[in-house]
Order: sequence, then C-alpha cells, then structure tokens
Amino acid sequence: MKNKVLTTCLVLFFFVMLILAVVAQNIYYDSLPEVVTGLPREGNLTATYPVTASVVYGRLQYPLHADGDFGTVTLLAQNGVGVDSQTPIYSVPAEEVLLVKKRLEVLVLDIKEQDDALGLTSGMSDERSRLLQEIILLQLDDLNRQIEALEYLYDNGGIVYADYEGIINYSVAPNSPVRSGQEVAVVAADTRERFISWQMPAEEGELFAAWDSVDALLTVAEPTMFGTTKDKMSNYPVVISVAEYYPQSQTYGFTAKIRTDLELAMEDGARVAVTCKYKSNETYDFIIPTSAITFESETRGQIFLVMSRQRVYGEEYYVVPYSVDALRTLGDSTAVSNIFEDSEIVFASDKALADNVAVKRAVPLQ
Amino acid sequence: MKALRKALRKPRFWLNGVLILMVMAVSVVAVIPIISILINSFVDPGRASLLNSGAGRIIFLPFPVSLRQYYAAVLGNPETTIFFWNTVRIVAPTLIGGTLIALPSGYALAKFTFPFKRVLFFCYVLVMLLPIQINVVGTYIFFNRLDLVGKYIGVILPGVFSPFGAFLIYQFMKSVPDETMESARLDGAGELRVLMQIVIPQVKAGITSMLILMLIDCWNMVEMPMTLLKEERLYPMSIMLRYIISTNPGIVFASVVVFSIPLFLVFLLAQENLTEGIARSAAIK
Repeated sequence: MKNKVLTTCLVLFFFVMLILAVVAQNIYYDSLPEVVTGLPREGNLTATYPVTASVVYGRLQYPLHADGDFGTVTLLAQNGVGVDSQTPIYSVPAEEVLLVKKRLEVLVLDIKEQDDALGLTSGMSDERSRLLQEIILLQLDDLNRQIEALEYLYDNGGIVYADYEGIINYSVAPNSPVRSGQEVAVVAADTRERFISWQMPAEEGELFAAWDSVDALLTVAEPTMFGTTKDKMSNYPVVISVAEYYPQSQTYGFTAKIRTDLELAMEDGARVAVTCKYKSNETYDFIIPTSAITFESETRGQIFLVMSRQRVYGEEYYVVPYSVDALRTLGDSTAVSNIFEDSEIVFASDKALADNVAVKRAVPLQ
Repeated sequence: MKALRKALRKPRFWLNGVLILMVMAVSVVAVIPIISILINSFVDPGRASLLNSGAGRIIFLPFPVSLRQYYAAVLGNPETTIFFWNTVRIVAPTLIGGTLIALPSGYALAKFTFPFKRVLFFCYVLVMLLPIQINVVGTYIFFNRLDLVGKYIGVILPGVFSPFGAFLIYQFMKSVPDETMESARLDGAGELRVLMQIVIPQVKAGITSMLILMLIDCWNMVEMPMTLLKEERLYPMSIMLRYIISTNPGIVFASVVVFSIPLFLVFLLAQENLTEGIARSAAIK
C-alpha cells in the first residue's frame, strides 16, 4: 500500500512537472513586451496630412447700382435665393425716375448754356480751353447715359431686372433711400467652375505651394449605359491654385480648382476629404517611424535594437538601447543617421522597454 | 530502579551514552541544512534573497508562510522546469542503459570463468575507485574525437558503462545458487533465459539498489555535464542551481526542494533495498 502511494506520488510529480514546464513557458512568454519591429528604409521623407475642405462654386459678381437719388427702394426678391435672368430685383417709384431724368436733362441744358455763354465750344485753341471742352463733353456723355438709363427704367415702370442668372444679395435695407451710384444688390452668377478650399496649420501648410497636387474624395455624376447618371465617390487629383498664409491665425489657406470635365455632384459648401501628401526633395539613407525614437533633444534620440540570444527554452529576442542622430522629422517618419543598414529596430511596443529586456515580436513590418 | 542503578555504575553505560549523544549531535548538524532549506522555501522571495546574500537572519519558523517562492520558481521562471527535464533526459537513459549493461556484465563476472577475468575485475574496481575528476579529462578527449562533446549522449554513455553497476550486480549474483542455473540449463534453457528467468528474479533487491544508487549519482552529477556539454541550455538542474543562485536568489530554496522531491520519493520507496545495496557495495574484495 505504501509503495503504491509513493509510486503514484512519483508519477504524479513528473506529470505535474511536465505540465508546469509548458505552462511556465506560456506564462513567461505572455509576460514579455510585444514589439513591432522593422528595418530602416531608404528614400524620401513622406508625410500625409488628411484635411477637410469645402466645395466652393465659382461665381462672378454683378452689382446693380442705383441710377439716381431715390427716396424709396422696394426689394422684389428674397435675399440669398437664386434668380433667373430678367427676374425683377428691385423697384423705385416711376415718378421719381421721371423727376430725376428731367433734372438731369435740365442739367444738360445748363451745361450747354454755360458752354455757349463762355464761348468754350467756339473754337478756342489754347490747352486750357481744349481740356475744358473735353470735360464738358465727358460730363454731357455721362449725363446722357444716365438719362438713357433712367428713360429705360421709366419705360419699365421703375423696375430693375437681373441681367444674369445667379444668387441675389441685397446691399440695402427694404424701403430705404439710395443715392445715385449706390450699390443696391449683387447677383452672383455661377461660372460653372468648382473649387475646394481648406486651411492647414503653418507647420504643415508651409510644405505645400501652388501647383502641388493633392487627392480629393469627390462625388461625381458618371453617365450610365441607360443614359442616366449615377453618383460615384472616388479620389481625384486636384492642383492647388492658391496658397496663402494668414499670419493672424498662423494658418495657410489653399484653394484648388476641380477639373471642368468632372461633373461634380456636390452642393456648394459640401465637405470634402482631402489627402495632402508631401515628399521631401532630399533622400535619406535611414528613415524610421517617429514612434520608434525617444527624443533626448531635437537632434538626438534613442532607439531600441532587437538582438537574439540562446536561452534554455530556445531562441529569445531582447532589446538594447542605441543612440541616433535625428536629421529631420516629418509627420510619422524621421530620418536618422548613425545606424547600421540591417539593424532591426523596435517601432512600437506595448510595454516600457529597458536594456536587455526580453521581448516577443509581433508580425514584422516590411 | 535497581537495574538502572546497576547500569549507571558501569563505565560502558556512560561510554555508550556519550557515543549516542555525539552521533545525535552529528545527525542534527547534518540535518539542519536540509530543514533550513525546507523552512526557507516557504518565505517570501525577497526575504529568501536576503538570506542568500547573508544579510538576513537564519529563521526556523517561516512567518508569514508564503508559497510565492514556489510559484516564482516553477511558474514564474520557465528555466527551472526545463533544467529539471534536462536532468531527467540524462538520468532516464543512463539508468535504462546502465541496467542493460550491468546485468549481463555482473552475471558474466559472477558466474562464468574466462581468461583474464581477474584482471578485468581488477580494472572494474580500479576505475570505480578513481575519482571522477580524473576520468573527466580522458573522457573529454576521447569523446571529442568521436564528436560526442556537446550532446547528451556524451554524458549518458559514461554513466551507462560505469563499472559500479556491474560491480554491485556481481555482488548480488554471487549469492545466487549455481544449482538453480544448472537445473535450468539441463531443462534446455539458454543463457539468456537462465539470466532473465532464473537469476534476475533472485537479485531484484540488488537491481533496485543499483538503480537507486545510480539515480542518486546521476541526479546530482556536476563534473561530467559541465565538461561535456557546451551549451548552457543543455545543463541539468544540478549545475544550474548555481546559475539560479546568482541570477534569481529569491527562488533557490524552492528550486532545491522541487529538485529533491523525486529523490526523496524514490528513497522512501526503496529504502530497505538501498540499505542492503550500500552494504553490498562496501564489501569490496
């Protein structure tokens, strides 16, 4: 009986040790920091900046000015709405139009009388006389044009119509008086040109300039085989036409024109995802992710190199710290010097690392 | 009472008493390290490492009792179990191979007569008596030529062909009556059958004690693995305990206890045969 118990204990002990050998290795392996590693790459520093832009419809502004001094202006359309050509925009009392026209005609007559009285148009030859003569003629032309416009306005019953299709914006309040030449309304006519506009912080925006290309996610109406159109969202390259710096907000404003052959199916003001990709002109021998570096100063940092060693349970990876010179940092990438070409570097780790700490590798990056 | 007074008057009584006390004292001194290791295996790894460094006091009562040392030794440190199994990977083939070699060798030495038998027996005894440290150099040179250095087979083979097992079996087989073998041979049994079915059943105690003594020897082997194995990952626990002391002193007590448990269980299992085996091995002619 005693022998049976002891034999059972012995067998059980070896069985437990066998299980513990496996469990202990798993526990140890699970406790190791998991690192993502990779090799430094050669090439240009690149950075990608996603921004949100707005669609802007290109518009030409057509202002409408008052043809004379009128006591009351009646606004005939709603502010900010679209109007067609020949839509009534505003009106003034017809009798006031006639009155203004008559006054101008009187003024013309007065100028002619003065001119006759002074004999300025009777062929005087000196320079002063000549200039005076020209002034009078110009004044008379201007007055006659005003008179013509007023006559046209009077014939229309005092109603001013839009010359172009577009969005109307009034510059005066309803029923307010206006002076001659004062802007009453502006018609913003659609030019069929489409732009996207966005802003970026100074440190990112300074990398881009006019004529640089960015990718915009646009919704475009594509023709189908049935003769209809179908909206399709896709990335299209657009070229920056305007790059402007605003010192007050320390931002850069960009405008890019969308190709005219694209039938944009997006409203004015719609949001557009834009991807701005920058590529440096210089090439570097060693580029690594910025996350791999612990910066000690602007130009110096520390990375961890992955080494391997033989342990009792097989090959084990461990890390050693290594100082590098940071040449340039751009977005997620940093160009460094002072490392070996085939050094396997820790790009990211889920736990803090230290010298000689064992690690386990995640899928290595290419 | 009268008998006691009578005994007290005899000088032999006092002499025996002093001898018994001396032996007890020596036994206690011999047992104290073992008890100390067992007690200290139930303290926190931090305290245990202090004890190892000599900064802590010797304790006889682990308070508070903690199993963290065992957890750290077995589950927290995968090397402990791997070194343990390295020991098993060396010991198990050595025992099996040693038994297979020792049985026929001892049988031949005990029961057969052949030329230079006495010379061979003398060589067996001589090699057995030589310290292992002397054998190690020659073994290394020889195995290096055979390209066996750095492999487990280089450590196993010296144990398999150790003369100790054959010598011990020889001692036990000497006492097997020749008549039983003769009668088996007359019945038509071959030598192998005589060995397997007549002789071996009569020397089971001897085989058991041989196995135990070989187990103790192999389990605690240090010189051979250290010399013949190049890679640290192949070392048995007997060598790596020193490594654990230097790298992780907080778990050394628990590691020693875990390492000693199989020997302890085997000892309990076969202590009667072990006593007889030690007695027979000491009877060198």
